Amino acid sequence: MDIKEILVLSLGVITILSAVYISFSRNLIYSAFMLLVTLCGVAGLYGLLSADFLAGIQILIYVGGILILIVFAVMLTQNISEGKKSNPSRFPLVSLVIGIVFLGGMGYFIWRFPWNNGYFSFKPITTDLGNALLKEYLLPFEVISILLLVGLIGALTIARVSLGNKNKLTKDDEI
Amino acid sequence: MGLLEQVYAIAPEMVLTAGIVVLLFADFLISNKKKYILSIIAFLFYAGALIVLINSTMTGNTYLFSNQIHIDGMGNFFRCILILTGLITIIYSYNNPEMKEIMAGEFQVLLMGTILGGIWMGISSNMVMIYLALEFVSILSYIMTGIRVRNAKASEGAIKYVLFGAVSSGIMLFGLSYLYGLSGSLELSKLGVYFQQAQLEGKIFFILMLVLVFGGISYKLAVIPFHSWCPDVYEGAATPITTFFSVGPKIAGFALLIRFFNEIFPVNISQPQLSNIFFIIAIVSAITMSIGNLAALWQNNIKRLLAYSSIAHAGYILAGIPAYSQIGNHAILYYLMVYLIMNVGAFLVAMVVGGDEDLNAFDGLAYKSSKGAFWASIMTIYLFSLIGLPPLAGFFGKFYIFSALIDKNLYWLVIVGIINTVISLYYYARILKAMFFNTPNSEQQMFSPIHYQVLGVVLMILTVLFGIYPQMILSMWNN
Repeated sequence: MDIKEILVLSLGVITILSAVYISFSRNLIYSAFMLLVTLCGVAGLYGLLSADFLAGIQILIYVGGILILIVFAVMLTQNISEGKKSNPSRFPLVSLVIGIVFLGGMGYFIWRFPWNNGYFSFKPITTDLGNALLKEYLLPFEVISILLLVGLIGALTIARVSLGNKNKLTKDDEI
Repeated sequence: MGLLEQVYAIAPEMVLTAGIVVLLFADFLISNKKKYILSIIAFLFYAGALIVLINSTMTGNTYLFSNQIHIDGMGNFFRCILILTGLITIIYSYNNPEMKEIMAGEFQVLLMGTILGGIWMGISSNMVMIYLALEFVSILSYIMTGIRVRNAKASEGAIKYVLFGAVSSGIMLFGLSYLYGLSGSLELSKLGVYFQQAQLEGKIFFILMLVLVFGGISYKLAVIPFHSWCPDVYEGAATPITTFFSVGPKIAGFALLIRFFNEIFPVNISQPQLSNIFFIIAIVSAITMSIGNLAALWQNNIKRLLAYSSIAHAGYILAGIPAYSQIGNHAILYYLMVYLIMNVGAFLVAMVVGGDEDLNAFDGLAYKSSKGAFWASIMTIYLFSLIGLPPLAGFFGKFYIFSALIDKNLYWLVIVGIINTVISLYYYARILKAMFFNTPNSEQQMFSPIHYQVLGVVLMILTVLFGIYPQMILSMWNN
């Protein structure tokens, strides 16, 4: 066995086992912390597939940002440690059937399909990515900047109105 | 082609982008009492974009920015119709009482952004651009729904919109990621090349993933089963914004759908496996028009009624996709243009009548005053067109769709469509009956300024004119 295969397999096992734990744990706090392991495992897989930039971004944004947000949201919610209240498992049979059908169908096609295996190589891609962003993907790159601008304005609009209306509070609001 | 020439080709989009920036700055330079100037500025920018578009020298088929966008007759049609939507929206949202609680500058910026995103949806030919454009329109739509603060219904609608949007975006991205994995390219035309060379198994997998992408797009079209956000969003948002939602994002969604299929499979190439996905779309279309029409029968709120009516019309338009041909595409484009006109018209009268959006507000509209009679007669034209009575534009919309279907031997879908037209007669006729046969309730106050009257008459004339000369729109697509 190649060292690369061992790495891929062990990272895959870690990712899948932690993902299974997240799904089956009744305690949301444990799930949230276990998400850390899953996300890091996925980042490792990205790195092995020579997507080093994506791996770094995965750590920065998902592990560093979104996960912290989820943990805070979980901890600020009441009664979160009682599994029966936070995630009552409803319709287990139906979900099981749907899940198995979906997994089986996808698995069959992924298994049978002749995927292109030629992409395995360790080569940093960040330079190529930078070039692509300013060449082939120049237009999407610029459109994203407009989207961010307009989205920012929208977010401010929704957040600001309650402040802006302070000088004309109605009776209900004064309480 | 050099970069500068490519930038010239997207001049209308550049004008709209400049418009967004100018509106932002103008908003804090103009005092609160003179906010109407913003509407005028926005109007000028839309008009400018339209003039630039009409005068542009770009003709024929061009792929620009390394195949990110594809500008052709269809793309220009969608650019044109979306900018027109923006223009009309500016007119009917001007001075509307419901818009007073919404900050004018931010509304104009968001509206122009949504139009811009819709245009990207209509011309993109790359999966990155498609996803980006779809999110562009979606995110701004969520904000425009929730922009009315301290309104429980608006918040409910916005939250539902966000949740549905996030789920369906996820479904669509999942499908797109596999399409990329299969073909190794983000360009839609390369996907088609892959499909033609693929083995049978690859083709089946490809089509399964196409179904997922169709699911993601179909939430923008509000077709079943991705429709349940629609009535709540329509009821929650301010009526002018609801009017915009019922046309703008929907036209953009159909633009994306047609573009997606046309880029992957050029219409003249026949693919036997494709009939699977078109069969699914045909079923979705039949269910959408049936449930939309049946649900509309029980509505007493005019906005909810028009929401379900717009779901049903999305079903009719969607029926043009299974009739996959040049005629089918033309039929969809024609129907979209007509739908824009008559639907905005019907919403316009709903805004005039106002009230608490109850159907009772229409009671005896024809006998209230001379203005009431004027609006009642205009509404009659719009309703007849929505039903699809000849010789109005709505009739030819349905006629073209059905004849394209008959060309492809999809008789059952035509029959479903005709039965649905009959069902829809009932709830549209309820409004007619309320206007002409019920006794007026006098306390209702009408909102009927001069620009509403002008817009109402113009839309009515277009409804009649496009019915008599349908070639007008069809020739537009060729130019």
